[in-house]
Parts: sequence; C-alpha cells; structure tokens
Amino acid sequence: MRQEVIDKIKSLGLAGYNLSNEVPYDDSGNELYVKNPKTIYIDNVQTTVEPVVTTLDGLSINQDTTSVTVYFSVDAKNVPSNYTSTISSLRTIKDTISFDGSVNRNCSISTLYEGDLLVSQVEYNFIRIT
Amino acid sequence: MAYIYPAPGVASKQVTLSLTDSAGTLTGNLSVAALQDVTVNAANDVFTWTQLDTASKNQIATTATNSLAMNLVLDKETFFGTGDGQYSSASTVAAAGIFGMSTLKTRVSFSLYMGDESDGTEGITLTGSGYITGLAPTVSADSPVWVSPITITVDGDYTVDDTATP
Repeated sequence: MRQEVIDKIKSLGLAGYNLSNEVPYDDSGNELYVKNPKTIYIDNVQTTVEPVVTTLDGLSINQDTTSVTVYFSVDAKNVPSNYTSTISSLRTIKDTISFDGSVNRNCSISTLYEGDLLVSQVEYNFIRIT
Repeated sequence: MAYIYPAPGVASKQVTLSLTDSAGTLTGNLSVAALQDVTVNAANDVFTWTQLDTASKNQIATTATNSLAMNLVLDKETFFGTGDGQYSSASTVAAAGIFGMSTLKTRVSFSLYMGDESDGTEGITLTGSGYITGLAPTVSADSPVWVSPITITVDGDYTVDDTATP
C-alpha cells in the first residue's frame, strides 16, 4: 500500500514539492521531513486489529485498520501559495487507493510547528471487517 | 456460594441455547450460534389497590410475563436454516432455522445453559417453551456485521434444572 500511496502522490504532480521514497526516519535528531522542507515522505504502513463484535461462544469479528501517514514541511513564515491546494489534492487520494473489503476510509490532516517550519501530517485510514 | 461464570468460547462451559420444535413436527434441534448477550426476563405483573384504613397502597403479584431476549450475529445456517430458505418444506429445526421457525410460528422448546459455576460445577439450565419473535436484522456502514435481536416469548413457566448437562 505504501508504494501505491507514493504512486498516487506522484501522479498528482504537486508543483514545488519533491517526493521521496525514503521513510521519514530520525536523522541526527531531526526527522527527514524537518531536515528537508518541501519534500514529501510516506511512512511505513501501520495496522491495528481490534474486536468489534464478540459473542458468548467465542466468535470474534475484528476491525482491521490500516494506516499510512504522509509528512512534509514548509516554511511557516512564508507558506507556499499552493499549500492549501496541495493539502486538498492529498486529501482526495484516499478514495482511489485500492483496499479490498473497505467499509470506511478517512483522511485526517494535522499540523504542528518545528522551529520555523510548518509540519503537515496527512493520515489515511482504511478499515475493513475480518 | 457459587457464582455463574460462563466462559465464552470454552465448550461445555459457555452459554448455549438449544431449540427444538415442541410439537415434534420439525425434528432435531438447533444450537443457536453467535449469541452476543442473553437477558432472562421474569416480570411479575402487580395488582395494586387502596383501602381507606391504610396509608399505603397494597399490592399483590399476579402472573408473570416471561421471555428470553438476545442479540445474535447472523450465521447463515443458524438464522436462515440449512434448507436454503424453503421453510414450508422444512422437516427439521436446522433446515427451518430461526427465521423459518419465526415465520412458521413454530412453538419452540428452549434449553438455555447459563454457564459453569465458579466452583467448577455445572451451572443452571433454564428450559421452557414459547415463540420466536422480535427478529430485526440490522447492518450499517458503521457497523457492517449483520446483527439481530431475537426474543422468545415464553408460554408458561421456566423450569430450572441444575443437573442437566450442556
């Protein structure tokens, strides 16, 4: 799925941003997306499985949530003019990523400040019942 | 003292519900799988009257309304039967399924094993007979698993047995 997210973002053709194949690891105290502004990083896939239905005879029906988070940073003092449209574009790809049996897809966007950088996180969640 | 501790998923220690046809028209029995919860209702009606020589109301218990209320996850064969929905030609309880017996207004005999006791001994079994009602299978995007309430309205008394094996 991570590669598919990379491909989808690449197909968006986001002007002014680079797209990295690396995961956003911590390099000498700084995550790569802090060290390299305007470069988009996609983290590894995270999954959680939790029961949604349990029965008295031991049946457990689970909710399987698969998440992928995208990170990038921009100059907080001089935010790129296409920042808002970039976020909007990233938001749209949640419905185009293939995920069999998906019953719910959501995308949450959050920001935080690291020094003079505005760090944006775009998290895609795909939920299915197993 | 021994509390009743059903052990979900542990054979012969968990809550089980078995149904048969009281009239014997449908043969065999149906073990109801995937129960989420069970409520045993034994609600006495109360007759209340007042007297001019008493400061409080007088009450006396009259007849009880008994029922079993449950929710279950829909298992195709348990709910719709093994007879592919051909309820009218079903010859067994398993073939009719819960939905079929509700449709056919079958008077069912039930046996509810409540689970083992805390001291490891076998627990209570409630038996009785009644009719299946209250089916309302539901599914939604937020809860994409078919779940249905089911009520067995009991005709008459419960019988409590602490010697029956599950």
